[in-house]
Amino acid sequence: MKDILSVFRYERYRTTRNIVRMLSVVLVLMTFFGFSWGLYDMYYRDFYSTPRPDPAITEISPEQRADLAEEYADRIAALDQLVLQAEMVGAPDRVLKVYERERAELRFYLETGTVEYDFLQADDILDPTQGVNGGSFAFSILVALRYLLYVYAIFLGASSFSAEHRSGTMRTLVASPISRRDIILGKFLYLAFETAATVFLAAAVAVGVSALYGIEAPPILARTATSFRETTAFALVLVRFFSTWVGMVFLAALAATVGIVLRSSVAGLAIPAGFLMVSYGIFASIVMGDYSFNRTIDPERLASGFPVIALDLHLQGWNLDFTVAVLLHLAMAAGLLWISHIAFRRQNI
Amino acid sequence: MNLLELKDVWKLYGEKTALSEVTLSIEEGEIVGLLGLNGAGKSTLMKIVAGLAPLSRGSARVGGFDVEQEHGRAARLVGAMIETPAFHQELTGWQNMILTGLVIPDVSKKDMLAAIETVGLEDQFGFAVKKYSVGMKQRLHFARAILGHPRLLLLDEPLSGIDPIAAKRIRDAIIAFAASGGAAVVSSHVLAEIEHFCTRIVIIDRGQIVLDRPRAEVENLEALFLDVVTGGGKAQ
Repeated sequence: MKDILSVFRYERYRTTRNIVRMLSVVLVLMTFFGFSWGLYDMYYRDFYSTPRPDPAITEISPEQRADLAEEYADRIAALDQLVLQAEMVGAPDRVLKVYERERAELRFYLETGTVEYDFLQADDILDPTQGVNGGSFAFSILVALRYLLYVYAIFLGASSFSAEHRSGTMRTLVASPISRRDIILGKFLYLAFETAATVFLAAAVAVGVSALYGIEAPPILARTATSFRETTAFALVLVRFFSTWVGMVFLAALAATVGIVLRSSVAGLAIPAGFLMVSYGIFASIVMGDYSFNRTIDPERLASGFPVIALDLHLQGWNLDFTVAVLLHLAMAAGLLWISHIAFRRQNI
Repeated sequence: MNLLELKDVWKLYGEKTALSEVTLSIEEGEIVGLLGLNGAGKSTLMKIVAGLAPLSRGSARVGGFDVEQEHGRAARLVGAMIETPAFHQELTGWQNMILTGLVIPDVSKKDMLAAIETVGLEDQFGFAVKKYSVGMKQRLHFARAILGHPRLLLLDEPLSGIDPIAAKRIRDAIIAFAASGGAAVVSSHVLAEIEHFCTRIVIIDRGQIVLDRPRAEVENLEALFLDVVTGGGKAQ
């Protein structure tokens, strides 16, 4: 254990004094507000208003109206189904109002060619009756920021072994009295710690910023496959914090393992990043295809079959599904640790 | 007492045989000059002793400890500077020393300062290594190798790129190290360098030891070396 902690301290010293890491942190902080707010805005506007009339166009011609009618028909049909579903599962009135209001707005626009009122204002997004509120801002920031955190985890994992191979400093470490097994364990332990510290920092800032919008955290409604669940934004922040950390641990372990096996920083960065992008791409294409045509797929259920996305798309608080997803990801990270050990123990340095 | 004992050591890289049938013992107080052409197996031999390259066959022991089965104990006795100096370039010389000290037991700041003084880097150890000249990096490499009170030094081209004054410092340090009960294996392509302070000459050719002789019995090292590596080991 002493040797593992020695490697942990070595890794912490090496990483925290590395200029690249410092630049990464600065980059994360610089992009924090702009990027996260932008994604937050885009995500919720799209999620709750697609398709919606452009408030800048206050009058439309009959031809345009015919085109829009076609475009909005799917959404109105979907809203009909959502209202029915909400009634069937006994969803709170607030939910029904949200759907009925949007359906009424679309119909009003198609019938009159005018926008009843501008419902794309931030006030609407922050209105508790809309399903999202100011208290959920912290949650939203973590949602938006997770991609940056994942990239950071991949960078950390890739640099933990392959960068040391490339620079030759791995020779000093392996020639030290510490066994190769303890080197692997120490470095993985550091990855787990560093990812936790980073996501904790992000969560602390996110909660702090959300306090600007009020910390009373009104309840929000999470739609599941079969029901609506009332929860609070801060409860979701805890789940998001944990799911982001587990996702980071998995991706860092993947990057480290690729770095050990292939001894290449580029592969250590590219393979986990590519894996993530391809997974999201396949997932998004299935969901969007279904969204456009028949809406028979529950995105959350579909996500459970995808690594990392299973953690990302969890909106129901901490339940059995989430526990299983977390344990599966930690088990996969442990499997990667074992593969790393096997590959590293007799590697020529 | 034998500090290093290699018995029938083989090292294969895939199909290629880098070392074969290498048997070698080194005792306290010896400074062994390891000579050979490029690719002869000098670095591979050092890497095996330092635990950087697993053996394919045979056994290697340092101070009686198996370098693979008892890596921790064996590695505590070894200080190595193998191949080109490798550092965390953004960090200072001092920070690189601290990093090494973190993974070697019982290394104090006093030990680090003493090692830096040995190579004469007192005035430069606060600079980032990326600003170091080749010679300065080599000196820092040596300082790092002597951290942790090793008994056996593995020095691959230790004087390469170093100015004459620093070279003398390092040579003196190696001689003093051996005199205090340690042993060193020094590889170099500069035969005069080896001739100058080694007590024993070992020549390795195509992965095999083809000559092992006390320095005192070698009159003309250059002629002997050329004879051995080009004449198929007749001089042995």
